[in-house]
Amino acid sequence: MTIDLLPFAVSLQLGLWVTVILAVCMFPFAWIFARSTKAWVPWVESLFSLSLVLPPTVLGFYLLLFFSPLSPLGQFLDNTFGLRLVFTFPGLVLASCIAGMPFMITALRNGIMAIPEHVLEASWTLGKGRLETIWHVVLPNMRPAILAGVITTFAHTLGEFGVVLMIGGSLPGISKVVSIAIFERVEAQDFASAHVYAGILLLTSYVGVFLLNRIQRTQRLRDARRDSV
Amino acid sequence: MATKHRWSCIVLLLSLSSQTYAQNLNFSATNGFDSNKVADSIIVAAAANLASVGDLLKSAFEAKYAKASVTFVYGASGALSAQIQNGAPYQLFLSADLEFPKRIFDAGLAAARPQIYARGMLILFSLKALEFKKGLAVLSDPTIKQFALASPEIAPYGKAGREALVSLGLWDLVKAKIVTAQSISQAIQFTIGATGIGLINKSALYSKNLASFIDKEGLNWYQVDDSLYSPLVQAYVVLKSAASNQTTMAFAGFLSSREGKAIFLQAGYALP
Repeated sequence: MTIDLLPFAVSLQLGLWVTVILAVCMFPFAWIFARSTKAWVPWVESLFSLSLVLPPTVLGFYLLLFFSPLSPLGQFLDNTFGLRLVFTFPGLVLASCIAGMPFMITALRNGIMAIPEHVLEASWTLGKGRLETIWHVVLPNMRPAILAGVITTFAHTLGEFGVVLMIGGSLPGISKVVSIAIFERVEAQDFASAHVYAGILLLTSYVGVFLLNRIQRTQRLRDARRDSV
Repeated sequence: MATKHRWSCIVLLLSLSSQTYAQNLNFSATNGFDSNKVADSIIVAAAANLASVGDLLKSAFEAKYAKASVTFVYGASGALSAQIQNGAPYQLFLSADLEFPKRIFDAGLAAARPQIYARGMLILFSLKALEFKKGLAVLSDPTIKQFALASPEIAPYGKAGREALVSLGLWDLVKAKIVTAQSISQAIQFTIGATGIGLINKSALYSKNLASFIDKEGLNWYQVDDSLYSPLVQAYVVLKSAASNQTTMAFAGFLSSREGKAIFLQAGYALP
């Protein structure tokens, strides 16, 4: 039995990149989806959950076709920026972002919607600008939602398999993530190694999620104490 | 006495040198590669059923060419060939069949025609000891309620299983008992985990999980007569990008060398 720790490092890096990128990039969209009354909003919002509908391997297959050096987009990126999005780590990050997008945006949108309008109005009447209000009022008030988005996105990215297999190609140190390492060991009928990989993955994920939840809980309890004083 | 001794020495020396000469000849016939030029890292995309034999091929090849390094990437043959058609950085593709390598060759992505490297063997496997005297007809026995078979539509071993059952006139009798798996490795998982009996690949016996059954032929498994199904040939292609890569060519040559053949035989495959 040989346990290679490299897939864990790749998974962790991938999870972190995807979570951070999505948390930052999805916030403006979540803000619009939560607060705008424009008629086009539901149309666009629905587009963002489409990646949930396609089975991951199918999504991966279309992303592969889309980013392929044979496709117009792939050719353009390759010729102009020398950027390859298939079988590379940046490509994997982008594909995982597309796959994980719905988890982050739903959590953030719900968090923003839960903030009472009068709280925002109070901030504005006190002369705070939009950005300042977001930074000092909105973000602190939607901490549980951000946490939920971060946990589900990160966990989903760690467990993601089909998209990664298709567009990453299981290259060691680049795109061979833990879920693929487990799959390959299962295919080889080497269940003992598969169990060890899966065990480490479950245990570390559990500890990670537990720690995040505990931070959240102590903060909530502290807030409650402060409010009751 | 002394002269006799001298003569035997000469004979011994001669026979030794002719042996090494023969070995050298053999070596250059199968694997005439300069070990200094066989020094790259290559990526081999391989069908998932090769996952246990891949480790053996890799270590034997790397022992021979210390500077070379081979990385195996496993997947379904169809998925791997879709990746290759979209720019995957593989040098060699070991498919589970002949069809996908052919398509890659036809698409102009291969350096040479597909080569057959091994032939898969179908076995009937049972976790419980079984009376295999009747051959596959044992499946029509009422005590057997279910058995696993890979999908005949998409998996080569499933197709072979159906062909064997049809040619024995058993298909209609037993088809209601089939639990269909999406791939041969899923068929193995069904067999071990649920049905207890299934038509699987012989090479599975040489994986870690089933290794304890290897010497239980006639008790836990029975090799299906390979004249009952069309040959399960597995072919490889060298991809165009690797046409002039010595390491790739040496590895492709290694697959059909005496050593490579021995590894496939040892892992439950038959030779082409």
